[in-house]
Order: sequence, then C-alpha cells, then structure tokens
Amino acid sequence: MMFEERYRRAYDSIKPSQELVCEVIRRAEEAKSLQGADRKSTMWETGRKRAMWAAGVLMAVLCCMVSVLPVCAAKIPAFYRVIEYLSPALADSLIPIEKSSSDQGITMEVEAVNIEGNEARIIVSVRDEEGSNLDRIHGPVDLFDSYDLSSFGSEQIVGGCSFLNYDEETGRASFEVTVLSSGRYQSDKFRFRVREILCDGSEETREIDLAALGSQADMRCVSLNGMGGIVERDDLPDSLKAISEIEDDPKQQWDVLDLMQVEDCAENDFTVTGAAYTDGALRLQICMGNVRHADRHVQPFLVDAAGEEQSCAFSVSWYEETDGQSYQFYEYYFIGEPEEIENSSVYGIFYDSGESVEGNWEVTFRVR
Amino acid sequence: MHKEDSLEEVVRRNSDMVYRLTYSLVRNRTDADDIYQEVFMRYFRKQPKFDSSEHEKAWMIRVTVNCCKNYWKSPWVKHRAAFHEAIVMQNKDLPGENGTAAASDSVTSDQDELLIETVRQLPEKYRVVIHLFYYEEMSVEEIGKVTGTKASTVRTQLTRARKMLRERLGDR
Repeated sequence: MMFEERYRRAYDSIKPSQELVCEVIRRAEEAKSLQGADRKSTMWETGRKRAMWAAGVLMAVLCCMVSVLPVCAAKIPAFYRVIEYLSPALADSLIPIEKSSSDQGITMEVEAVNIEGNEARIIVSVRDEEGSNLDRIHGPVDLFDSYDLSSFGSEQIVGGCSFLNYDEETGRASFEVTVLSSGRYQSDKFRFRVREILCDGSEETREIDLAALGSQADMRCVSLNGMGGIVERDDLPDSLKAISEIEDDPKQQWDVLDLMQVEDCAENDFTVTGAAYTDGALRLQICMGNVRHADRHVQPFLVDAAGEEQSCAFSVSWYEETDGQSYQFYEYYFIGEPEEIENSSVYGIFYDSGESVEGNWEVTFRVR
Repeated sequence: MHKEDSLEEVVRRNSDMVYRLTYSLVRNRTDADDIYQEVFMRYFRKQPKFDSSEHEKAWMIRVTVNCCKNYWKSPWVKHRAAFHEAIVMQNKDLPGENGTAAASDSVTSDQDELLIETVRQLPEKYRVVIHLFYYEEMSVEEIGKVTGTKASTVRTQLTRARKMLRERLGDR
C-alpha cells in the first residue's frame, strides 16, 4: 500500500470525541447569545447616557466571558507558569514525572523534579481525588513538613516547602519542595512521601487593638525554642541586645510579658495575650494555641501616621503547657520612640492552616 | 460563501480537519483536545468573514498551526516530550504507549499507530507539510500560502520528510 493511502487510513479514524465537539458547540452558542444580547441592548437604549453605560458594561462582560472561558494552554500546568516567572532557570531544567498517589480523598502528584548534586527540587501538587465529594482542596494548603524523599542511597538531611499556587480550573494546589541529602544523589530511583496535609487554610489581615497599651508590665521568664530578626545587634535597644547573645545558650531563658496565662488562651485560635512599650521597644505577644496538628502564624507590622509600614525587628517563641496540651507563644519586638509607636496602628496577617488530614501518599519514580 | 452559517455549522464543518491536524502535530490526545478548543475559541472571539470555503479552511489551518507553535515553544512541553520519548524507547514493544489514540479509542490498528508515531517523531515543520500534503491533499503552493513559507521551502521540507520516513519505516 502506498504511503499516502496508509497515512489517510490511519488518520481517517482520528476524530474529536463527541463530548469535545458538544462542548465547543455549547461555547459557540454561549458566544452567540452574548453577542445577540449585546446588539439588542445597544439598539434599545441608543442615545441615552445610562444606556451607554449599560452597553459598555455588557460589552465588558462579553469580552471577559469570552476571554476567560477555560481555554487552555494545552496541558502546560499552572504551576509551570509560576515557576517560569519566579525562576526561569529552574523551569528550564525540570523533568516531568506526573505520577500520583491517592489516600483520604486526596491525590498527591509528583509533577516534575530537578536533581543536581545533593539538592532535589520537587514540584508536587495535591487535589481532591477524582470522584471525592469531600472538597478538601479548594485553596492554599500546607504539607506541614511531613514529606520526605528517599533516594535508595542518600538520606534526606533538610527540607523546605513553599506554596506555589492554587489553580481553580484544575483544583490543584502546587508546591516546590527542596530537599538536601547527606551526599550527592547517586541512584536514579526516588520515593517521595507525604504524611499530613493541612487543608482549608485561611489568611486574614486585621488590626490589633492596642488601646490598653501600657509602659509597665509584669514579666515572666520562659525557655525559648526559637528566635529571629532582621536588625543588626547595634540597632537594638540595650534591653534587647542580650537577645542576640543567647543563641549559644542551651537554656535560652528570656523575660517576656506576663499579662495573660496560658489557661485563658484559645486552643484552636489566636489569642493576643498582651502588648506593652518597655525599654525602647513595643512588645506584642500572641498565643497560637495548640499547633500539634495545625500551623498558625502571624506576620505583624506597624503602620505610622504617614502610612509607612514597619516590620518587627525581632521575635522569640516558646511553648507553655496546659491540660497536657502544648501551646505556642510568640513575642514580637518593634523598635521606635514612644510617640512614634503611640501614633501607629498595629496590624497582623493571621495565617491559619485549618483541618489536618493524615494519610500516606507515596510515589516512586525514576529520573534518567 | 457561508454568510448565513451559524458558529455551530462552522465548527461541525471544520471539526475533523482541525482535530486531525492538531493530533498530527502534538504528542497526545489530551493536548490535541486543548488546542482544538483553543482554535475554535479564537474563531468565536474574532468571527472573521471568509470569501470562500477555501479561505475558511486556510484560516483554520493557519490558526491551528499557530496554536501548535505556541505549544511547542514551552520548555515544559519540550521536556515532557523528551522524557516521554525516553520511556517509549524503553517500552517500544508495548502497544499503546505515549498516549496515542489507540490507547483510548481502539480504532487504529497497530500498523496505523506505528505510522502515526513515526510521523510524529519528525521535526514539527515536517509534520505540518506531511499532513497537509498527504491528508488534506493540498498542493505545495497552497501549503506555502497557509503556513507563510515559500513553495520551494515546502518542497524541500517534503522531500526531506519523505526521506526520513523511508528510513524510519523501512519496508514495514
């Protein structure tokens, strides 16, 4: 048989599915009816100012509806656009994997990886399992540091995870997970696992009421489990300079505000437990509640009379026990003169991770 | 011509042609489905007026090829294609790999599938001319017009594509 005949025969059977054709025709009808409505309204109200506005709105709606119909960029995933923007070099070196695992109504998929030396960068997505009506993934989610990468030769020593985006069209939340191993990855076979997913996360910016701000406060001593800041030691007031010296101290004792007891704090919510201006700094203390299966954190900032924002200079964190539960506390320090602080408002971006879903999502893949 | 045609009629008239061309130029049915929709969405948005049925067909081919070019440009598509090709090379004895139509539709024979895959492994510009020449039965001059390429270039591409196909298909 001649090539021409073979080629024709092979392609004669290639046709769009009936479902696909119907979908396109449905959109054709949608586009037509919108266009008809636009023409009708323009004729009906010609010459009237209000009508001009209405037609304009209708036109805008038409343009928007036509342009936002979910026409795709042919299987180029949404996360890839984000990575292309954030890191073109990474985007260019990703190797697609596209292997998935489902549990607890959630599907985790390893979308792509880049492995160089002892560093692995893994693009992971989570979505509701096909057929699941639980609607667990409908916005930002968190892997809660419950992931690990085994490479059958090297051991994971440290990892980090950053949320990339949530794609409403596909219902996928994507992350970039970075894993460093103890040595160069030798094997081409990997296993990526996730054990816990925090769903239903929320983020809200709200003002923190400092009406009762005082310049005197009782203090209590706590054992810190974390600290960090953005200012040089020399820029800290004397009362806080010691904080930068205690990092090597195994006890890490520190005086914090003693204005509210842990028993009075909410278990599953934020509680602003006190604020006071002492020793050249505004101290703001917030309890995150029980964070064993949740991730709550706050990014506080000051806004002065001119609208300028100021981030906190330093923060410390510790745990306190009540009823056998461990609650996490943070105390934030803002540096400034009393009158500057007095004329400022304090806001916080409150992030709450929501519901915890424990499961076993595991994908084994090869990278050649 | 076709002045009174509804959008639906335009879709139905060009549906198979657009889909086959897309399918010959991309790597799998999912991507073909997406590009197929994109071609018609472009038509709905612009609703160009055509002088003749040839004009309409040429517009559809041009837009389809352009949509596929945008698709090829993405590094994601390039990497995915390379990665999947590596898998296919390893599993070349397994039928239905690489997301071919046979895998989902069971309407193409193994031989047809092999032919389609072999053509798909040609460089993109060669796939366009092969499909338009052998399936759409367009002349070299017509292909040149719709793709914005000189007829002599199309002729050269066709000759090279045929040579590559002969080598790859052998006497199968």
